[in-house]
Amino acid sequence: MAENRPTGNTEKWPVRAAARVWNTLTSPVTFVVLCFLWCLDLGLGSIAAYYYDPKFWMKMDSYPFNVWLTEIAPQTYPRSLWIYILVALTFLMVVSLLLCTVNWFFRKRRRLKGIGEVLVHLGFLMIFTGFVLGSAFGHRTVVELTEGTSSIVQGFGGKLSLDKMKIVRSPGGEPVDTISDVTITLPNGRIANGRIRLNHPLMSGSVVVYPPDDYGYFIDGGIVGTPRTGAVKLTQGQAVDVGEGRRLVLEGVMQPGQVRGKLRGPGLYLVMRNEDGSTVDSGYVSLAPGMQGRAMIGGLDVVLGQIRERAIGRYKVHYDPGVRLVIFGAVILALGTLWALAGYLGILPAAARAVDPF
Amino acid sequence: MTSGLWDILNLAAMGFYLLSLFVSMMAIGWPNMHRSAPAWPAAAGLAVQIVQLFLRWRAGGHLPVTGLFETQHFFTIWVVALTLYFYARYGAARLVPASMSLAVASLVLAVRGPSAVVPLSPAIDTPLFMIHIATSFAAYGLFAVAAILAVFRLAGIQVSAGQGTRRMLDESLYIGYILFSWTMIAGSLWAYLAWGSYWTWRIKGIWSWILWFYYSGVLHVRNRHAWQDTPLNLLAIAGFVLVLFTYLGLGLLFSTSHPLL
Repeated sequence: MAENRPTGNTEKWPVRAAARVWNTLTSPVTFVVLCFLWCLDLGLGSIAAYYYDPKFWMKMDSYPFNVWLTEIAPQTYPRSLWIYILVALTFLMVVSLLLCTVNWFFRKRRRLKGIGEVLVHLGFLMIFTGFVLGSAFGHRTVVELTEGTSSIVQGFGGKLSLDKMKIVRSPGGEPVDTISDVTITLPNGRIANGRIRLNHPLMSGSVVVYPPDDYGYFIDGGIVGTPRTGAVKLTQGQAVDVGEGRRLVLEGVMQPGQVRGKLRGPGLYLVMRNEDGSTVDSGYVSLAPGMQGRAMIGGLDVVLGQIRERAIGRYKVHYDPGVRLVIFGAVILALGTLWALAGYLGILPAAARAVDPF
Repeated sequence: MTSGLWDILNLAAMGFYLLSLFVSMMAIGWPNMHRSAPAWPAAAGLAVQIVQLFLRWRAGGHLPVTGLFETQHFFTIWVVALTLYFYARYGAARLVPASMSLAVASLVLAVRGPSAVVPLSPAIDTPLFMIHIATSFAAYGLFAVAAILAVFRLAGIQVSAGQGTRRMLDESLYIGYILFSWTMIAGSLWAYLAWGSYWTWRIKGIWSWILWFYYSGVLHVRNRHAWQDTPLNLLAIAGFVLVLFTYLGLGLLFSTSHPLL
């Protein structure tokens, strides 16, 4: 990083003072002291926060950092004081890093070997800048969707549609993943669609749609059969004409596992009504073990063929305008480490090799 | 494959490392013993562990590095492999018994975790996971060796002739830091693809960044005159304490995104 350049005793004191300040700012020791303070603050603060509330970090992850810092952190002040100190130390560290990097370009003895380290510094600075951009202007929204529906994504005005969703289960039957076909329409009119699952989100520029954390199926209807109508698809609230001026209405649905009195879900609650809306009779048909899948309703034999399940999920939509800079910074940082490693191991040409200090 | 096989392989590796430790101790009072004698049982133990790694990889269909049993084995593989590398390159015979003690301790701790091969959950079924874990444990292994070397230096014991000990310490810190940087990059990219954020405010992620910044600091001072000898040795030892806390302390004592049990 920095190197002390002798200013000579003949220099006037303002020049000497400025040189001393510059040397201090660009000194590795300054960075190291800040680094250790940063570690200490974050280490102690993180443990204290965990002990006070083990879910503290999950809550913090739900918001872009600036939103959390300006809206949530003040509510827990002074317990959140360490975060403000962390922010200050982070900025100081970045300034130190920036000045060290700038200083390298002014070095008289700069070598090809040092490029690796400079790239690491530049990469980190890009990552930090991207993080600040994302925190300042990003949005994180959760959109609840059922199959075949759309919803406006709050925060940046796009629209998300869920075309289809399937829950993937382990051999033991535990849900482990989901496969969703989604379409996102961005505010600029651009449309992106694709199939998403864990580790495979839908990315369109700075907008990313992630698979749902919270998902399941719910019953909104089924197929019932009667001698007069044959098999009919019914969703909740729908009715089918069964003749003699009567209608069979699907009035209610019970979800799997739901219990009400003697009734257990999954099942359908059906009501037979006259033209004037008065009730003739009602009955419950269910696919739950021990329950009846057929019922006599108003003298009509009603059989439940199957129930209709629809998937529902809570999808995370993130808009992060800094993420491209972060990824670019990570690539630069990785290249820097590769260059530095090659120099260290003596793989690079002689001019670019590390000086053996031993 | 049954857990009995894993227990046998675990015991076999542990036995070879104990033998290496024993031979190392014998060598102190028996100077005529061939200097490579402690290295052979260590190499045999490493071979057993590598065989186990591949058997578990085949059985599970993924790099076996989840849970306490597998991660402790993976960590031990790196510690022993690096020790043998330093032994071969710098003749660091005294490093062998210290590393063997650490290896045995790791394998004793490993059996506290279940040894059954478990299927990989979809979230960690990605090549980034493999890069993240492999580089992470390689770095942990290097930081462990750095700490051992630092202890020897503090005690005034030269592990290798000339500047060998200092050079090994530098290699461990420098290459360890670079590998850990890749760990962070792979982990962040994976987190971004899987969960929507390259930076998560979770206790494990936070302490990993603390570790990265800590070693960034160490790297910046490692060749400065004022930080040589005792300060650098203490930094290397404290760094490994941080590694142990980040890897084992958090995984065993806290509810984290990287559970060990």
